[in-house]
Amino acid sequence: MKLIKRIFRLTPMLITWAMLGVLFWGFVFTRITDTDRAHKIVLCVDAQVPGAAELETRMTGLARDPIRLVRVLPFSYAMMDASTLTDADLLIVRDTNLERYADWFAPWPERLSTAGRFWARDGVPCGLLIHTAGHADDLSAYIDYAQPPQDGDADYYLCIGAHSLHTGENDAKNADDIGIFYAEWLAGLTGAVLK
Amino acid sequence: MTSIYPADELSRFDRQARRYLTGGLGALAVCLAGCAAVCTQVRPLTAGTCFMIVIGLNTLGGWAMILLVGLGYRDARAECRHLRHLGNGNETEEAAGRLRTDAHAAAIPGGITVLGVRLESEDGPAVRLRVNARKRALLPPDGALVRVSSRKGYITAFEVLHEAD
Repeated sequence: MKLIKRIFRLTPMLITWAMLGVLFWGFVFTRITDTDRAHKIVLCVDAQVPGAAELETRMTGLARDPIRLVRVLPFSYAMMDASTLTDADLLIVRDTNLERYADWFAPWPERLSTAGRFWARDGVPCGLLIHTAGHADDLSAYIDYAQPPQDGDADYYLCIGAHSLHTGENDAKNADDIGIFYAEWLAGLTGAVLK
Repeated sequence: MTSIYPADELSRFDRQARRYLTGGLGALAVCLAGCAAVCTQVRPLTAGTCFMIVIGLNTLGGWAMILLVGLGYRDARAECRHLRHLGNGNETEEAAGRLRTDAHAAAIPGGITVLGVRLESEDGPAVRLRVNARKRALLPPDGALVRVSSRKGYITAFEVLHEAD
């Protein structure tokens, strides 16, 4: 009984240690599993992504210099860090939300926008249709398009981030266009026609 | 007179304190080394599992250290301090009377737990002394007529003159 009382007296210290541990190792893991924008591709999806880790692994396997890793994040991640969404390299957006997020999209390169179904803003193609409601494709294995359930399945478009550092045509200062490479790869995975 | 402090008690508690401290810090070091090893194996697919393992190891190591140091080490250090305190100086006093111990022990912050003792004699005022609560079981039951030797107010040895009725 006396021992239990003494252990109970140490409880605040035990709890503090556990909490500090979560904070410290959370920081360490963030450093390990993340890198700066110049060395990663960020794909943000306007749906739940239960297979994010698997898709990240598959896409990271395709990476070439200077890309070290690929991160796949749901839009809900914006609660943690809003800039992740606005600075995303690629975005997969529900058709009903295209107008809402239109400022974040860059035009698709002209060479790639001659075939396929595009969502256009002021006549400029900004989103490639990569998922049609009710149809399963390779990407459906990673993305749950029917979330949230009240909205049901819908059409989804692949857009290029306006502030991406890896889509050469966005900004003349950028040398690489790995973002475009990944956009083509994703489009190929879903069967969307690009060329 | 029977001494309640064996001659090797100070070195025994000193060793015990060192063992607790080494054990606590060792457990923490082993767990943190495990955390570092897991960190080197992190891949996107395993990051979640690795994080949970690291949190588990960190918590286990930390808690082992806190419990070993907070309970075992501190107790052993307190006993060492108490023994050194008694060992400084040789002024030993003697008193005799019927033994009466207080019902409740009092813990000295950062120190040992002590019990108040009264030696009641028929021809004078009661003598108030203290005894290390851990040593109470060595003393005879309340009511026994004893002669005690004390140092700095703590009973260090005793002799039973007459058992309790």
